[in-house]
Amino acid sequence: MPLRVLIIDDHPLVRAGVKHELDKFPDQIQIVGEADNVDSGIAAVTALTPDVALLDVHMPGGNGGGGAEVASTCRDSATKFLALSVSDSPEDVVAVIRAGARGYVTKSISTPELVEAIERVGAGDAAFSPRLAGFVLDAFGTSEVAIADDELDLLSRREQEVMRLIARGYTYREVASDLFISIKTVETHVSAVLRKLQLSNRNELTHWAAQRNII
Amino acid sequence: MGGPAPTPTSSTPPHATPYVPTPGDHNPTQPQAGQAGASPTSPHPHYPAGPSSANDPAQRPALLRSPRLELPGRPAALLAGVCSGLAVHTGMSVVAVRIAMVGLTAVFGAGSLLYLWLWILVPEVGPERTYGRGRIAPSQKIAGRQALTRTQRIVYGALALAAISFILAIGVLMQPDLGYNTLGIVVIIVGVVIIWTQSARASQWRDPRVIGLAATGVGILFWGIVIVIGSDNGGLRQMMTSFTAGITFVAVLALAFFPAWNNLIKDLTSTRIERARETERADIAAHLHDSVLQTLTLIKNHAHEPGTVRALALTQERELRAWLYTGKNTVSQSFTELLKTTLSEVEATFGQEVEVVSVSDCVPGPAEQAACAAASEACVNAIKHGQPPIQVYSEVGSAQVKIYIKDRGPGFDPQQIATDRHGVRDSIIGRVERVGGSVNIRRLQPGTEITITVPRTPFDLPAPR
Repeated sequence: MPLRVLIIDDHPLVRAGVKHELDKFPDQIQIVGEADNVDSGIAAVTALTPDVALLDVHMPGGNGGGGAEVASTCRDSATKFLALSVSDSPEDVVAVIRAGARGYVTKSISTPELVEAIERVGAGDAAFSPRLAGFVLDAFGTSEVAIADDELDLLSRREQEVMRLIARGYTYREVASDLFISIKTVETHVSAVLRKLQLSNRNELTHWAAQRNII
Repeated sequence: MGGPAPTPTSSTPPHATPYVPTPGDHNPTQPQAGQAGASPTSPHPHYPAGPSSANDPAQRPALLRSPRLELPGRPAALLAGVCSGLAVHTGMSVVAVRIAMVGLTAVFGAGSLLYLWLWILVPEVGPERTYGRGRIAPSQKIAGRQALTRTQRIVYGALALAAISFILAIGVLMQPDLGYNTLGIVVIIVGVVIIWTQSARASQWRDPRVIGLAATGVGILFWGIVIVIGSDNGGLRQMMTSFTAGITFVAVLALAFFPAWNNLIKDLTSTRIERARETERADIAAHLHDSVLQTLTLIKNHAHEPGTVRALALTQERELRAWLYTGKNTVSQSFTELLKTTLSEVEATFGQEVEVVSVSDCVPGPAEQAACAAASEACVNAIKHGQPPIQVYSEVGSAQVKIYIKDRGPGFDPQQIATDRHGVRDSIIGRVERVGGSVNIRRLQPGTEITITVPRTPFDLPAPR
């Protein structure tokens, strides 16, 4: 049963390119629509209710919030957002994650990896690119580890290890084999990190984010 | 091929480029039509032609003066460019306007007063005029021929006008005791003219020369007024009383208008700053657009050489990212910047993308520099013997710096490196161990990961120059 995917990006060439690439995997992905600005993106998500929406960060329309605005406006819908952008600045990445996106991948990603990321996000997990993992480690710091499980402001030791391996370029499978855990456990850790990134009010994170004018 | 985008001040390359050469590069006495064949537009700002369309107010060109420049489409200015400006604005011939101005002068000096009025108020042609029409904001000064210096023009012109007005005014007034009045008026005019000559340098009012000349002008003015008033009224006390009243009045007026004047100055300053910022941004944007255009043209021309295309795209992408997304850290202050710069050179040399993820930063000392150099060697290794994607991760901890270089190639066994192949052994392992670090080579399925660990340079050691 292929995942229903919506592409929201204001560059027509990019939309055509992504659509062309994803059409090569008809068993896994089915493109149900395209949108090119914030308002039409929100309307398309509401009307088509795709499983996953590919979201660009910089887009015209709405209140000027770009992809982050689409993600936060549609926070209550069943659609899961995966940010796919050419920008790799920390501001854009963290802003869109804290608005509710469940992953961030750059446009230089290869198509099989993009399909895998879409499937992961569609299944409710998080898709982390090495760069996003780097931002996470930068934001939370690598010197301290959380003791309690529900600690929002620090990463646990295991989570730090997983993030570090992802930042080094390991796929989930390679991470799993390196740490002698299952892929499912890796996905759980990654989802936990995503939740912390979205919810944490850690001073350093807010300071780091404020320094970059994110919040 | 795949060289950097041409800088704007270089000479025009033989094939047509989309960038207009800077006007300052051209000899201004060259004929305006027919520039060197490459550039499609003339270097001077384009003024809408159309003396014949002057009947249509919507198409009438703006009233501007161009006293110092010789611009195509505008007649040359004799004195202050007022008549030539009027000629362009109304569509009449400049000779007709000049004759009319001289003729008006004969009518009680009205023509010379009109000329003076327009001289003061009509704005000059400047580079900002073409901001809306030009493709880029021309921040370069337009070179122009200057017959007289500005001060000379002002002095000669004002004197001439004043003399003309005065002569005609006398002809009208014809007062009995002409002598003192005449002298007084002449002295007043001289004082005013001296102050006018300093008007262009009002922003440098702290310069002693400016203050001196302005004070001299004020003094002469004062003396002229004394002569004129004294010749009419006779008594010194009466004169002093009226004088005091006059000066008090002026002082109170100045105080009353001071806040308004202050606000005006502030507004003007902020507008200037805004304009300067806009100009700079437009310049940067134009440079970027041009370098991107240039790269795209090159890519189009070499579309059948995938290696060249990839190298061009990579270089341009790096340049744009550097402009748009990365911070302004310099290589000497930031280890991350040093690593990224070193690796982008490797990228450019081999045309292969290297993804760099960095966590934390520090000031690079000798140990960190050695680590960067070793990482660059490891990347070259990965490009030559491994397979993409090549990923580099660097982490600056409290006590050590770690760099991981990973590729997906078939891998190699470090034990089996021949002793005469010095690549990995010396340039990577040797370099790192010399600063007290260690190198770990790890085989993956598939791929290789090289880990470089160096202890951080302690803070009290001076950074090498």
